[in-house]
Amino acid sequence: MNNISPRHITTVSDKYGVSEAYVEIIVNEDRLKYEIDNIRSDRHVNLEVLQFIYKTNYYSQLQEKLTGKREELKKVNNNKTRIAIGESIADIEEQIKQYKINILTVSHNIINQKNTTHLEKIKSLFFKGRIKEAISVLDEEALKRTQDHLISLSEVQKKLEEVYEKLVDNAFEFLTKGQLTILNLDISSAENRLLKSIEYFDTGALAIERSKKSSYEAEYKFEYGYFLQGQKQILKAVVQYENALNLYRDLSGKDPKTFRPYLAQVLNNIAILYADKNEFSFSTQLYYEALGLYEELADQEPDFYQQFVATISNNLGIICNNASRFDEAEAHYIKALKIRRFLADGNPDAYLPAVGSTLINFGNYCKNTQQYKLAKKSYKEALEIARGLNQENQKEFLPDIAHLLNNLGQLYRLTGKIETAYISFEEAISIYKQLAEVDPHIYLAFQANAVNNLAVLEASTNRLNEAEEHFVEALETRRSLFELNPYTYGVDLGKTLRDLSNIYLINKEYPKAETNLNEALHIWQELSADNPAIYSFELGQTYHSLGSLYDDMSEDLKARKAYKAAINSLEILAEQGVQRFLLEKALVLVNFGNFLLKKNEFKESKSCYETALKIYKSASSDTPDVFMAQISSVLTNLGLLYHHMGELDKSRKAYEESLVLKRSLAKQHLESHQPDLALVLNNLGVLYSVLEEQILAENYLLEALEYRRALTQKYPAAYSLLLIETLIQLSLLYLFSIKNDLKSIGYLKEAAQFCIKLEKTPKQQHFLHLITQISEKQGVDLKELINST
Amino acid sequence: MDTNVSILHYIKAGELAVDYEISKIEAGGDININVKRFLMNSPDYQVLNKEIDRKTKQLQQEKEPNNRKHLMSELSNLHQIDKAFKIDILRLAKVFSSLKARTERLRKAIALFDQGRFLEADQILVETELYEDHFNLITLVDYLENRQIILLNRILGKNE
Repeated sequence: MNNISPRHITTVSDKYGVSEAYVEIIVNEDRLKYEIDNIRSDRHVNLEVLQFIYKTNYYSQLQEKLTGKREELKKVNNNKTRIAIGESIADIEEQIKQYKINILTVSHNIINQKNTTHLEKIKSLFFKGRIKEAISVLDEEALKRTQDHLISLSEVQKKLEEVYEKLVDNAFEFLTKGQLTILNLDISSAENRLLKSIEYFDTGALAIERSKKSSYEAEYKFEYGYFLQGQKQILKAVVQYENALNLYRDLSGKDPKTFRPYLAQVLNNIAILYADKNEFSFSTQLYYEALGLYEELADQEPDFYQQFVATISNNLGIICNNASRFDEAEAHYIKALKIRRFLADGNPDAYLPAVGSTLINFGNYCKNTQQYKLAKKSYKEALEIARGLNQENQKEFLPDIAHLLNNLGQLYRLTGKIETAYISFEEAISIYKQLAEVDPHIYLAFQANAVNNLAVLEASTNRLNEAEEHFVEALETRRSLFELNPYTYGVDLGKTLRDLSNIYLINKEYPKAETNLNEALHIWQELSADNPAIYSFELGQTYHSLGSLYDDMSEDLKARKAYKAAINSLEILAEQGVQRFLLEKALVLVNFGNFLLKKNEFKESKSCYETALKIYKSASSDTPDVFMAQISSVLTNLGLLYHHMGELDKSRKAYEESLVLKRSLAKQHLESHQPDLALVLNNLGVLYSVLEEQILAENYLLEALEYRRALTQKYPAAYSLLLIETLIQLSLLYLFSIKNDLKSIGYLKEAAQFCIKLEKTPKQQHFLHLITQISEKQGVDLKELINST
Repeated sequence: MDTNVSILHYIKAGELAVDYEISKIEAGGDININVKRFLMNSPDYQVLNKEIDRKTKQLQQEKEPNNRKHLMSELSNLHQIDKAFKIDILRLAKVFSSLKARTERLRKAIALFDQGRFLEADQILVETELYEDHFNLITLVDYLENRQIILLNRILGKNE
């Protein structure tokens, strides 16, 4: 059999200085046998073979010996002696024949041998024909020594293998020791426990690295990373996970079947860490790689790996949602839900909680993207699951039920299902109170949160007394929690203080509102001094509320200062593109713009509105629906500003653009957007009155009137003044432009009837004064007008 | 009360989703009933639990505002430890459920952990013995690797 490929024949020939024809013969067993037979049978032998043999040193010695004997034979006459010499010649000729055969056989054997240092030397000498020297390389003593070394080496390697295994054992004992140390509360502080644990882990890491067992090393580094992750040592955990990742990448290249699951797992864990570090882009990249691996594994073993595909899809949903990549988020949640529902059909005990948890995440996503109907559906299904599981699991899922009721309550509030929202919050609060009886350290905070939410709902439905009562209740709980742990509960306390101050603001209890806001401000200032990235948002919001308060109190200097402080607090992170900050900054700018508009500082006001509009438009570039309400409101404000500035065409354009958006929003949810829609319609009506386009003015004002009547019927306290405003505008339009006195008096009468029922406020007095003026213009007595049927 | 609650068994059998339980604890929620039973059977956890009970009762009886404040702070600290302790146990249980114990010491330590006897598990792995093994093994591996290089050089005919 030819052990050397044809392309190597040239290489071998060049290396040893032998002809290619000779190499071809000695590597080919059939040709070799043929030449050997030729030698044995004294037939013609290949010339290349003979040339090689002739150049070997022993061949010439044998030839000399043969020539000597032949010369001797020529000189001898005695027959007996001649016979003896003839036998010697025949013997030498046989030796030469055997020598030739041996040369060919040895050539064949050594050309196929694996190279060692000795053999390399031998081959080199042999193919140069220096057979004697080649043999001397393999002297017995040297061979014996090499053999001894080989035996020793084998023993050392066997021993090393045993030691490597023991190093693995030692490493994992240290790993376990490190993990158990963290549970040893006899060690005085958490910090000391952690330091001691890390010391054990590091010693174990040294052992595992010396063991040269890369699969164990990968496992060790992974477990070390997992431990550090649990101890919130994020940076150190990343280092260990990345070590494990590199090892698993290498191992799965060699043995994909065994190591791909591990590779997927470590990718998943690193992705979680990067998400914790807010490095969403890199985290998503790692998640996608893990997802790809798990999907491949699930193709082969769906029963086991589908759950991992679902988990990663669920996590990707959360990340994409946080990064406002809403389409991707939705696709991942739907996929996770589909798999988890399928798994839960087969094993509800194991997978129903996971279905519930994905439903909650999906609900949060839908709420974020204002898909309220879908959000409600998800929360309700999750609630149903939690209630079912709770019956089977000794109230284990009671907290989940309370959390979901609280979420649903917020959703019902947002969608105007006020009564259902009340029911949800009240049930949530009742459960939290029950849970807080046993575990106040866990559930008092949740209870306060739900009470606060209930108060927000009450405030939004003008049940101000109840709202105040509940805000005070939440405040008391949050104060006591804040005293225990200012860093954890400061945020909540600050928020309740601000919410309560809004109630005081509405009730015109300005000193109380100011006291609360200043207390909140003090909390945020302290917290944000340590951690501006987190708390300057709340600080900015509180300055914002103070700005609104002073604005209401007509303390212009303080209002201006507070608004500017709010913008400054939000500025740094807004500049870095953090969306939450940008959006809050936009909101402050809108209110500051309103303030400046009242002060007739048109240029500055316009700049505020335009910056806000730019922020909202940029934030909504991917998802235009999300900020539609905000964009339309800023456009309304701009419309009003341009009206004040006398730039009526610009005003009309801004209002018309706003109106398109408002109508679209109202189509989705009329109740929530009705007040704003009515406002734009009213303002457009007024503008067209000025532009003397009576038909358009009449149409817009009548449509505004329809909405404001409906709103006033439901919430008279909040909307009566706005209704009066539209009625007066209509009365004026019919009086001066359309010249229909009857209609003018009709709307004036309705306005007057509403106006006299209202509490005396500057605005009410202003309207009453206007009504009186118009009635005088009409030559109608106001009292008669009001009492007429 | 059930005295044979093997938390490792529940994890291995897929009846306990550790990450889900941890996320519930982190979110301030309740824990799985089997984990609760495991903890209630753990003498080491009971030490912590009893301390929390003791402080809670003390707080309920205390009327003086400053003392109350002090006790509340201590109690809050204990609850933080309790939360971290439960999470650490669950994470460790997850590791042990998949770790192949290769030595007798390790097998014993894991078995003790599974019985909730965390301190004893820790004590099985005697620090001095572990370090002694470690240094002996490192010394031996240094010697053997060095010897291996020498032998290889000799076989290859290189100068030592």
